[in-house]
Amino acid sequence: MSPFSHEHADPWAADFVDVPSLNREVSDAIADAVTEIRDRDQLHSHSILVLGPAGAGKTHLFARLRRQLGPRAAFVLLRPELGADATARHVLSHLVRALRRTTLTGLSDTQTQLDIVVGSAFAAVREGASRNYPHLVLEELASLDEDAREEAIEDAVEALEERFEDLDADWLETFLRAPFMKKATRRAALTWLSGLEPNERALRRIGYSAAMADEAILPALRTLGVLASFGAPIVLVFDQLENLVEPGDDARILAHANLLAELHDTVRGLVLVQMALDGVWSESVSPLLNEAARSRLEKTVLFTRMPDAAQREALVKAWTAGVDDEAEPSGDFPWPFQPADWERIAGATVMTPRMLMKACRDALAGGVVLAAERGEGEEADDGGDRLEELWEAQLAQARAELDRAWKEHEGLGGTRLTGALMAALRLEGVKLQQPKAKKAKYQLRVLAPAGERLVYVMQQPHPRSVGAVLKDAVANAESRGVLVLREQAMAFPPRWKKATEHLERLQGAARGVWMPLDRQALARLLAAHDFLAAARSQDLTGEDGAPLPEARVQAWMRERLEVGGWPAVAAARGERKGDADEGAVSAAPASPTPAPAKAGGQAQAVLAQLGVASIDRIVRELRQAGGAAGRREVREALEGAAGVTFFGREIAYWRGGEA
Amino acid sequence: MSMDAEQLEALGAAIREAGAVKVAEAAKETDAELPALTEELARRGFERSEKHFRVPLGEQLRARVAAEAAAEAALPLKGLRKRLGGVESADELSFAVEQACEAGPLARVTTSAGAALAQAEAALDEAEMAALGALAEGLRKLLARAKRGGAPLHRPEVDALFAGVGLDAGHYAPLDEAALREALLAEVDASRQLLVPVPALVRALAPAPLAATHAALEAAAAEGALELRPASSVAAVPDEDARLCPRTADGVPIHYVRRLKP
Repeated sequence: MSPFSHEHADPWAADFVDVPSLNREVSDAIADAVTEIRDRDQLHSHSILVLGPAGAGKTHLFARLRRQLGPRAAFVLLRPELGADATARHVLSHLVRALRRTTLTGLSDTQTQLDIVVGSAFAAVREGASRNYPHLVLEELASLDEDAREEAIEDAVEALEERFEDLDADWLETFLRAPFMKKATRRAALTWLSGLEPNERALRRIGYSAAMADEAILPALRTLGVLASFGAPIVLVFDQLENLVEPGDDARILAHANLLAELHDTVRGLVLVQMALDGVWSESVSPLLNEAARSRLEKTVLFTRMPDAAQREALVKAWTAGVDDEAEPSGDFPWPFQPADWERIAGATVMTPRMLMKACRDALAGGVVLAAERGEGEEADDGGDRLEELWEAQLAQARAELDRAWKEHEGLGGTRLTGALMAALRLEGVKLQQPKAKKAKYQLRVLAPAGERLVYVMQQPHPRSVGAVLKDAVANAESRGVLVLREQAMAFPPRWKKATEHLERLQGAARGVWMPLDRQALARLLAAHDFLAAARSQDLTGEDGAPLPEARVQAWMRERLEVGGWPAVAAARGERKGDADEGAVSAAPASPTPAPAKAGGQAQAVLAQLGVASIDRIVRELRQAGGAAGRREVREALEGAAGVTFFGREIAYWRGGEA
Repeated sequence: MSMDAEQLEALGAAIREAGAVKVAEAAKETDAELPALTEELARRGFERSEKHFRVPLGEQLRARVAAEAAAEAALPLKGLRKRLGGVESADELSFAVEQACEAGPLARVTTSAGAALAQAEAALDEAEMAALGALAEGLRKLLARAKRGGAPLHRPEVDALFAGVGLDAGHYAPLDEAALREALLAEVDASRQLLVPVPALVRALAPAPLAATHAALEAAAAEGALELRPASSVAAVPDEDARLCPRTADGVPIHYVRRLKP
């Protein structure tokens, strides 16, 4: 692979090329804020705004700081959903989810940010413990018998409450216990701690009866901010904020400003970092902020700098250092440039790292052709093939996200799916409204030529919540169009009798549409959302390295992907499709629960739906749907089945055919 | 009337400061006492509209235009209602603008940012507009010919065209680069934006030639007084702005400037 093909930074990468002097001012400012929080008793939150053009290294800074600070900070990356405003609950859920990530400590590849936060919080209140070795504190606590550990947890809660009056004791206690829980219980606890709704079994495991109430969210964030401040302060990065800008609609920018100001003022111990394209912020966000908001959001404004000649040289040397000379012979610096070309590159007034990498690629391909030297009509490409390639990569990422969600035993978040659907509908020019009332059960009101339609994105895992949503949908289906969407893999188990009754009523209603979404339909919606966001952030680049204009990407998606014909989009517009597209789902299946059949047939059906799955996953899916198949039974059924290939003994792949 | 002289003075100052004060906020007078207050304020040069005591609209317009003129700018008509105090309706504002223009002190002008009001002497007259049209047409033809012929223009002929509209041929003389650089930095310093768009600077520094302004930008960047930054907006830079921007080596418009404090 070319050493010049990594023009988009992976924020979670562990191994990447870095020139530390480049934008050191920005990374030092964030690192200093972390150190100040760790070293001070008087806690407050810091706000740092980082602005720069596309390809200037904003996302790279995140990866650099993770490596630089290691276990001394917990990193969270939030990107705006195109269709949903960020809320405190949204922030909490991302925070807790990010804490499950491993740190770049070098000590262990299983140590999570959560372990570090809990370990250092214990260290702060336990005599003789050092916050520099949180893993040792955790190991010591894990070695205690259950009673002794419970006593230690209670002591810690008491000590922390004495020092900080506004902590949420319930949340705190559950959080401190989490690392010592058994796997399934910890999973349930983390779902509850993140403000999401656990399913009924998970709630029973942790002794709660419902998800956290709205009024408990900020106290939970306050508690987490304080806990993390002892050893690993939270660096909460709001990235790609240019995606808040909607022409003619300031609401999303103002909602973000309110949220950030609230976090800044009421949650202690956070390092709030906002990142955006400098031009967009300067022209479209900053002028909308009042003085109060500006004093928080623009408290410290830092700009990414263009690399100077020495830094450009260091970058080229660092990139070429990784070249495998046997596979691709390289030369001495300024390879891949000719000396004369390099002189021009080094002397150019403006050159972002991304522009430099593109110039390297051009040089490798046969010479640097600057714009001024390019003849008329010599545009590098029309972007079509490149967009196809980028779209496939985006789809693969979406599928991986779905797989991750299932690996963590969670369906896709309702907000994420709503945002994805909104992005697709907006692309098609559909007018949308989101309900203003907090208690509204539907997520979208679609104002299409075919009439008004309410869309319910029903991703709740608990039958009580599902029942409430369906009841509301049935009532509304009397007077207007109603569409209810749910991830197909989250089928109702047979014991959800009331919810199933409501669903049958909805299916019987003349204006109600029930649409389970299969993996392919979900992946396309998620990919569409992220693709549009990347286009806005100028992160989709053509073969020539230049950003592909957002309008061109949108036009390509409308024409080539035919987004308007995707079943969920068509149904939301009131164009219900009976003849489902390839990979789409039936508009109204008879029942969300698979019909009773032999485990073998069911296993094949599940595999056909998932594409690739482990035996465990298939067993889990079948059990969730009310079946009782075991691993052996499933494996035997699939091993002999047509259209199924195994990778090893655990992973099955559906090649196609009739399930 | 229950207001004493000191209170009246304070109210007058408030109206002058904001352009207008709501009647309901200005006084708690009874309906019977309001006429006396209105009369007293009128003696001090203020007028009463339906809901406001205000500085007369014509006077407000003249003051606003004078303030813009001091910065060699014009007062945009777009959003004008929000810039004045106590405007009750769009019709009322249109009437005030018409009156100010008819009476002579102000004139409607066209600027790169749209329709605006300026002091009458800052508006080109008909003859000047015609001469400018002739200049533009003459230049267009000459430039097209130069492009076809592949050779530069003959200086005396171009000078003659400019002389025809009364412009100083000295614009062709080497510019005072230091003065241009100073003016450029002053423009950047006066902006409240985090990043200053280059097209706005080029327009503000007109009639300095584009190449000279670009050279001043690059010189200021080389000295570390400014940082030049590429376009990074949601939409592509419009053509009319892009042609005013210098370019990166690969043709991306350098659309923004940031002041680097010494």
